[in-house]
Amino acid sequence: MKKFNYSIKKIALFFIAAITLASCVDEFTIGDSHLQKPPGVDITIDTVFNNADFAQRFLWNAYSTLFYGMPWEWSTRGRAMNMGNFEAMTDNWQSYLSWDYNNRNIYPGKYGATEESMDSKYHYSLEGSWSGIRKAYLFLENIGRTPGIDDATKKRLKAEAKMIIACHYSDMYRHFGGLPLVRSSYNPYDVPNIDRSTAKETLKFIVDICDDAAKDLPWALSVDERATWDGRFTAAAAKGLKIRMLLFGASPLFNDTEPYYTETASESNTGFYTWYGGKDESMWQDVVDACSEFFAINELDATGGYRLAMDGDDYRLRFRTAYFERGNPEMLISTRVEYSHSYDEAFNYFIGPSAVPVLEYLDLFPKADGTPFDNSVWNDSVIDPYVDPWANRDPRLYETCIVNGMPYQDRTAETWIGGRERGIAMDWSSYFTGAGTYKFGLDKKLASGKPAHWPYLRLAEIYLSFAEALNETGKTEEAFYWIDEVRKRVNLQGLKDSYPNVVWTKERFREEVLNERSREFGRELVRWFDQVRWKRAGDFKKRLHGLRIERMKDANGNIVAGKYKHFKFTLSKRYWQDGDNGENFFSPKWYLSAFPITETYKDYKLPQNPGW
Amino acid sequence: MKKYFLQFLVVLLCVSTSAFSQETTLQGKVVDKNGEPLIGAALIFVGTTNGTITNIDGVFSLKTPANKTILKCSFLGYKTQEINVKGKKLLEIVMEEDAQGLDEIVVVGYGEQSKVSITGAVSTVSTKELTRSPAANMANMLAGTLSGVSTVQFSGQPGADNPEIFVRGISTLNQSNSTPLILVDGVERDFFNLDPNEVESISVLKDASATAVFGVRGANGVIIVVTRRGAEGKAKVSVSSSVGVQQPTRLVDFADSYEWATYYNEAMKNDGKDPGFSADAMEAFRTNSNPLVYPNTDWMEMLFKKNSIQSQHNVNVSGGTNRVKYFTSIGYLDQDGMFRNHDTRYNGNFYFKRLNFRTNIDVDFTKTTKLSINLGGRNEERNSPNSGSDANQLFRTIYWATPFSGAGIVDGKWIKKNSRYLSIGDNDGLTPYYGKGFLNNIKNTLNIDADLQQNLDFITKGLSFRIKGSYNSYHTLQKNRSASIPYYVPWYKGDLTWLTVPEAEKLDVVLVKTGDEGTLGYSEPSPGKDRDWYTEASINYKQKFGNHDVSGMILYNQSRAYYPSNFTDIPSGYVGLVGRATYSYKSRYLADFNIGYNGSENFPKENRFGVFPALSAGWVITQEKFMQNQHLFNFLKLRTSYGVVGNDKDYNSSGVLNRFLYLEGQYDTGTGYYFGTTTSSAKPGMLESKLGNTVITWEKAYKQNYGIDAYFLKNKLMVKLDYFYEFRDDILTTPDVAPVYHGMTLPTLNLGQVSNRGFEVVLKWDDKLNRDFNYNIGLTLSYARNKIEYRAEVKTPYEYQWRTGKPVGQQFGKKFVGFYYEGMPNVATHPGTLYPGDCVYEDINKDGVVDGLDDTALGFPNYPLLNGGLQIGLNYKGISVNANLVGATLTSRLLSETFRIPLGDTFSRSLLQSQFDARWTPETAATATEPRPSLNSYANNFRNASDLWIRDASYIRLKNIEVSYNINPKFVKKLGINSLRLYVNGYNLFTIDKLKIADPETRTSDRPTYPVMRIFNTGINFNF
Repeated sequence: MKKFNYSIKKIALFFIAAITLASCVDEFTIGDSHLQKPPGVDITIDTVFNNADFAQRFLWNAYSTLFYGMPWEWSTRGRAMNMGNFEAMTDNWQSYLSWDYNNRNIYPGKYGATEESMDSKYHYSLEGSWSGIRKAYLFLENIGRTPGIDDATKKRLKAEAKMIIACHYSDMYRHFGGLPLVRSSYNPYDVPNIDRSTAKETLKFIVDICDDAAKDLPWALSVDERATWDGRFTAAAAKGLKIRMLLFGASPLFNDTEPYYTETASESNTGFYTWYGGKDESMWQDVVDACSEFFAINELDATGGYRLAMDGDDYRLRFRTAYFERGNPEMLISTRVEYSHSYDEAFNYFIGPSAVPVLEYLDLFPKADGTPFDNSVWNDSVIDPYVDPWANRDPRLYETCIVNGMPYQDRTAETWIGGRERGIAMDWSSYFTGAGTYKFGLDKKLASGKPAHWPYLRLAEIYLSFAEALNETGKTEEAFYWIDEVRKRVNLQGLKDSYPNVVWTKERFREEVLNERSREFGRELVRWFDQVRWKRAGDFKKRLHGLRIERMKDANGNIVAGKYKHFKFTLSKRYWQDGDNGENFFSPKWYLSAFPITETYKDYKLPQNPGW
Repeated sequence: MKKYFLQFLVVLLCVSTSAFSQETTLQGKVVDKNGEPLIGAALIFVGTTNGTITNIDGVFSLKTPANKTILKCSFLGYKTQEINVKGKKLLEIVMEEDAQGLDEIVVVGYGEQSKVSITGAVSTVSTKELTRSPAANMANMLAGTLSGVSTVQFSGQPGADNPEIFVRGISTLNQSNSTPLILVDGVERDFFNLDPNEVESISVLKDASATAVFGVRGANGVIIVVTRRGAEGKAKVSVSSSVGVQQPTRLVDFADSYEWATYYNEAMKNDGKDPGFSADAMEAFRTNSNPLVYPNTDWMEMLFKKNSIQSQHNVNVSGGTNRVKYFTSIGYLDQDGMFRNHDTRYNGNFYFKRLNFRTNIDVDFTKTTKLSINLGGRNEERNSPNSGSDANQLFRTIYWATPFSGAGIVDGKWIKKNSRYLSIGDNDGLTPYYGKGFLNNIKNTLNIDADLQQNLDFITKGLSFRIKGSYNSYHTLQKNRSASIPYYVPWYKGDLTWLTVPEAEKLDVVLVKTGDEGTLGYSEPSPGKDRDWYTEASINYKQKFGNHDVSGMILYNQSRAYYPSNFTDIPSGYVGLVGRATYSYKSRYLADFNIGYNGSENFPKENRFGVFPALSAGWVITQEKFMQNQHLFNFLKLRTSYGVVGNDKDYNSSGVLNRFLYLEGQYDTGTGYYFGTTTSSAKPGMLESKLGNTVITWEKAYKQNYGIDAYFLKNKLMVKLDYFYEFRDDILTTPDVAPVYHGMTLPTLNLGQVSNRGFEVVLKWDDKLNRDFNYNIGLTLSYARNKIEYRAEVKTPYEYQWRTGKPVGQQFGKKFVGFYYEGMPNVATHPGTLYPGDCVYEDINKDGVVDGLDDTALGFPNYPLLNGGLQIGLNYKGISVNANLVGATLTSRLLSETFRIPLGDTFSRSLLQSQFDARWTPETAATATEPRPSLNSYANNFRNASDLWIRDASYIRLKNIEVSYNINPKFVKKLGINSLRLYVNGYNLFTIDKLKIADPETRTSDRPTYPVMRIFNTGINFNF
């Protein structure tokens, strides 16, 4: 008996030991209650929208999905095009980053419908635009019940959410054409199939959102709001985005007597996803009307409205303020991902080899008084008598590009072969064409630690779009004012004075507006869409050039200070450029991106863009 | 009640004293066939409780009961004998080894069963077989020895060479969801770094019958490791010690500087660009005339040692009395890495030091109460260079190095190239780690089990109760020692503008120093802490009623793990209820029923608990009367099982375990936005996280198994065949068929079905030619082929593109036709322009264009479908040879990055010798196997996955071989020890394969691993 008791005791003891062993750490539970409950401090949609602060945070997060034109980190969005950019797909810039998307896929013509990857020019599925759109709809659908925010503020916040939707659609529209129109958030078990809408419907959808949003937004931020809230959408942003879209929509890419691509039959054409089915000249009048409306409201705005950044006498600084400074008076939409950029991620590639200005672009910049630069100087390697071709030019040249001999990092830039900038590299240099990029990176030191943003849309674009639309509607005379205003900022004469001998036909004026846009918006991702919406096959096909600059030597072989020999050379061919014997490789299919192939086989109707 | 207890005690007393006067005493000795005494052999008179065990000399003494004369003698690993001892007083019993181990006890889930009565699919390997391998990681010893198990050792990194293990291949959509459940002594623990000397056996449970008891965690098979325990007898001490040399089985072979530059210039020429290397540079490379300015460095030689040392030592003691038994072991492993330690300020090499200790004690408190305590643990120290990233990334960047990127270490100085003279190919082999310091990680693991078994015969005979508690704790401490070191760049004196240099010295090379030697910094990330506990309680019943053997078990268990990777603050837990019933009629007809009832935190209340039943049956045909007169089969058993097992694990794309899959509408803090002009902080943001699925439930595996166990020819030949079929339903996965415009992070759904079928063959031949020579041959084959039956995928009109219908992990790509030449017929349009020497692909859908719609299934998956092992053992007198040949086939590697793309993605990385030698040039057009050098055609030639880059990764390799010699026992005895064994063994000694450019088990991707090692080892083992 004793023995048994002994073992009972032992068992009991063991039980106690086992339980204490386990329970010394936390409560000992058995069965279902042992399984953990999910986090106790659940934040649900109700938590978020029952709290004024949380609800607004939700919107601020939605803001963070907005497009940003520079790389900033090694993430899908932050390293788009594998640190390249689509400015280098235009006839203004060329990439010498050997492994970016341009050199790997675009220049050799290897891009195709199946090529959507982390590196694509604009991701249909990876960019995060759809996620941003969902966030905005969730906000719109739920903010109504949030306590502690007055109705006026709610209206304003809702209008901002609408602008997030409009911005994403405006980006996608310019890359893809007609899109499926999402009008609410969905629940995961019931995602409806929404077929692709026509190009016209999509345009109307975006424009309507802009108009709708503008109603509830202040035209501009008040001065005291700016310091803490600059970057929020305003009515001017909405009306400005509307103008950008109307201009794109009126342009011949979609608005023409025939589709841009006719080589093969395409459902995109017959279904009017990338073509309106005819030419409607009144669409240009819509742009004019929208611009008139814009400036009429701007004129009357109590805060003083938006204006071109024209302060001070330093023309270059005026221009820098316009694109670089947060809170400058002409910034309609400014997007952000960081407070300031670290050099490594944002700038090593962006102002490095990923886009190097080509000679044709450098030549676009006139002399300082606005008269055109004579590019015949490049026909002889030695300029005689020697006049520095880089001196005395449009201030925007120095702000956009680093050219030989210009002040740079407390010295002068050396873009000659063997110079500190150019070096002796045979290829893949950030100064390969004899010039580099200054815009955004400045001389590196000046931009370091400065608040950064992306100039998504600025007033100068509205000016130039107005000029373009007036010209297209036959009011060329009125158009001069708007282009000359932009030139005036950097102290250039008006067009007529700069080109005294030119007869200003509609076509000639259109060329000059597009050139002015190139000069004004270099590296701001405007040129690509200009080339595309005007179906400028010729700009795609033409071969581009660069300069090899060498220091001049006298008869004894000694270097002559300040004088250089310039050798013009042809850059290696992009696939779509004409061959040396005039062969044509170009196809208009390049105007729009292809949808990723897997997306076109999903259950909704998404006909592939023509040619892909 | 009281009376009953009293009787019980009386019986106990009688048994223990056995003092009946009419008995006579029987004395004897139990020996093996060599005459060696067997210590601890059990003797018992059949039908009585009268028994004993042999002492240290194999001698026993036993009172003979009056009416019983049949004495049963049994000893683990030997055939049990029954001897009529009527009238005998002195006896020598020679025990015969039981090669096939029919009486073996096999470990199964929450218990053990005799091998004869098993109806499920279980395979087992004993420690004896494992200790023949010098591999540092136990899991790498399993290759080829366990049927149904495939292991692939990707890495040879000291302390991080865990293989990928699959039981019966893969049956779910996601490879990381396919890992088997691993238990050590019944508790979920890692066994990879146990000392093989402390392990008794490793069992693998494969079918539903064997795994149903693990319910929600059993779907991918279960590996059960059992540690060694003591047996009654005098203390046995075993000491072993070995030392060996490790060598990489294969290093990557890179082209030299001249070849690299030749390749690059060819590419530039092909692309219509200027050459990247001047004629002077080319000449300097060719003649190696200026090794500082124009280096030609073999980085494999510069960075890696040919040989690195490894040693292993173990002392273990076991023994016990009839009340207390113990096993205790201490083991030590020291494994050095392959890096040359160029930075002499510290040891920056990889190394791994492991101290294992274990004490397992069994105490019989009373005749009916047994307490087992296991105390195991280890201390692991891992050292690695401080490369700022993991070892895979380190090797990736080392493999990027170009031969001319620097001269390496010359006279103690680190010399990098001057980009003024060579502007391309900056990737230097030392940059990834040299001079950056080292990381030292110490991990302590402690495992404690307490297991109490109480015999409840007093309630009803055969009833027992068991309770068990386990606690594991892990503690890691990392030391980061960072440093910096200067490097030198060669300049021609004439180019140093601040010097006035006489004309004659202008081409002298001087070294210009950059950077300074930094002191060795110290930082300590917060220590890693992990702990978990496990408890179980069970009631067992086992009884024989005439010809009917029945047993039953009911068990409850629960576990809790702290600091999981997701929702770290909420510990994870499991609960389970397990039932088992077995029945056997005359050991002829066998039937088992197993059931698991489990709860998982991942599912909503309604679906939280799942029932997983399995039925199995066996028929031992040789027990039938009609089989008694045949001589072909010694034993023949048919068995079959069917059941359901579950899985609740769902890993996200980055390998983190998702939890609370039903949790709906979770919102979280997220990226904010930088409003304002000079406000440097962001306005905070909030966002919607991964959505939940309120109706989510188990992934279910329906498993069938059919098996035959047969012994022929006097038990010399054993054949074991298994066929299985599994259907996995409701697979936990995130679909990608929804239109992308939904913009959500979709929840995990029960979508997807995978079938998996295959077979296992085990053949064992064991024979003795004469007293001095015996040999055995074993063959195992394991084949498993899965098929995706349903997967929510976007289906193109071309069935060859679908994942559905193909194996999990099927590789896809284009079909390579040949290299383009002018006038090549039937070439579809490829994006861009094709030039001679570019890859031409097949236009499979015949639409005239080569694009993503022409991607089709290529080769086999990354994991082998067929695995095999061939074990050969020869014993002649004291000499034994044991070899294990392992093979794997029906597997492919898709080469990528370094192994596929010459000059790499950035055109500034390395070039393989094979890429240079086999490149297309107009001259070699007929024989070339690699495309022409070209950067413009990179997207077409190298970016496209195609069967040009699919390599057969089949191999046969001599995984282990051991030659050992048992020194003459008589001689050894004089030294005071029982046995002395000397041995040499080896690991991965030779390999026959087709991959060639890397070890066939390693990865040929952008995550290259530390090379797999070959080991030559020699050691000594003695017992006293």
